Amino acid sequence: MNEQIKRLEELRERTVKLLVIILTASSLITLPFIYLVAVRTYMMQLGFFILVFMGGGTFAILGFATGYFKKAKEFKASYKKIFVEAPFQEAFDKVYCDFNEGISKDIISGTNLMSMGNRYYTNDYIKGSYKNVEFERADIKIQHHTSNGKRSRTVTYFNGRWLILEFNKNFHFDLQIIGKGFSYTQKNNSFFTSEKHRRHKIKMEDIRFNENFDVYAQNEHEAFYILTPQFMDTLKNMYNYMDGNFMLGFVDDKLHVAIHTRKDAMEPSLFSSVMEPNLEEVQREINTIIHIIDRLNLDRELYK
Amino acid sequence: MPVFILLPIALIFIIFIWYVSTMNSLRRAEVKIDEALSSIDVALTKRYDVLTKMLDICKNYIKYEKETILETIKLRSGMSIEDRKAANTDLDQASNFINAVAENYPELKSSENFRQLQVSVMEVEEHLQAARRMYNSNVAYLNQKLVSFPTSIIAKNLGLTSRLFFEADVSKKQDVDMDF
Repeated sequence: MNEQIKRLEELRERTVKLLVIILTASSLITLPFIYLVAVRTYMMQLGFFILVFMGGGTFAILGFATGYFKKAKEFKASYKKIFVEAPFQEAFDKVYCDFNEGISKDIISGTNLMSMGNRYYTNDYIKGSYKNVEFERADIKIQHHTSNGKRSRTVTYFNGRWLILEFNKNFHFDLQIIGKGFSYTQKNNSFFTSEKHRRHKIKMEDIRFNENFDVYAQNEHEAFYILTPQFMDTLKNMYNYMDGNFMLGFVDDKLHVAIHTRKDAMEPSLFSSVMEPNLEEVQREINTIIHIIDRLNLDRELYK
Repeated sequence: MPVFILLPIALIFIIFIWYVSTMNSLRRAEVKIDEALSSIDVALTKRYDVLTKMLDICKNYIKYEKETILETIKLRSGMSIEDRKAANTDLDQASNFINAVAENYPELKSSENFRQLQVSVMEVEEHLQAARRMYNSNVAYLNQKLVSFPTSIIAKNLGLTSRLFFEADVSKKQDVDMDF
């Protein structure tokens, strides 16, 4: 493993050096043009366009020619293999990783838990099992982009990790539990939703739980059946741990957990040494999965 | 139209809307309580049925007839909360009795039929607990409204009265006499 990390560090250093060379070369080619064409003629807007198009173009050409993009991709893949896949393999069984794939948009939109916007990105797919409970996770970004020709605006609805776990109780109706810090959800509670699919806002008997979460259920009895007092305590602890930026959905015999972290947890930085990697995010992710399965007793096959 | 006429009309309209929505919310609370009660009844009946099946399996190990054990349990429609609580306590005792028998006869405890029924009992008990919590939660909501001003005025007009909570019986945790 140490040998692999050393090789990865060498690759990172080579990639960073290449990046510095390309940036310097792009600047040396572009800046004189900007000076001659834009600064001397006081056409600053033109200077900006030269910087973007010529600078960007030069960077892209040099990047391809020197193999920088390939090296950066290789670094990313090797980093994930060593620092993401290996810890997952150690903590879980039957681990399968595909960092270029994710959870399909159809699955997420099919849950009717999130506003879907018009842009959807997903990667870092990992599937595995813990105490015989199967799970899958991926990084997901959902955005809504609008443009009127002159101005464009992008609103990020969700950026974080999405977990799908097997749930040990049978249920027939959808249930949604939304932390007070989580936005852009689809609640299906409007007058226009058919009665069969409509979720109603319900209050549990725990006042603190009601302060931290909004619960929408198609069937009140089933909500009380799933949300046992122990389950509610676990969610209250999770709320403190995650600042309420998460949502749970019980749909089609699966438990969906959406955690809005606002960042891509598994992306490595070229500018940090891999000899002392920051594995906090990966470890936190592993702990979250273990915590959910253990605290919610998802391994109890009592009801199946 | 002059303001001194518009203002009282607007005020009356707002009070009317408030009255209707409060009345509806109180009625809704009542319906929810009735739904929860019906869920409790369903769970109690299911629990009774599963325990009866378990006693059938236990019959070779005990000297009593199952009818003797279950005779005190009376489930009927239109029971009061007190009746339901009493039935639940009796079912707790029957369940504890069966568990005590199973503890003394390992071959019974390990039989597949018995194990499956134990799983069913646990599931039914969780449903019963859910129904009980839902009932108590809705009763707490209604009872709060009944004592809060000005909702209490509408509640009084509707003839609503506070409801009793369905509390879990402490005797559930007590051991049973093991005289098989």
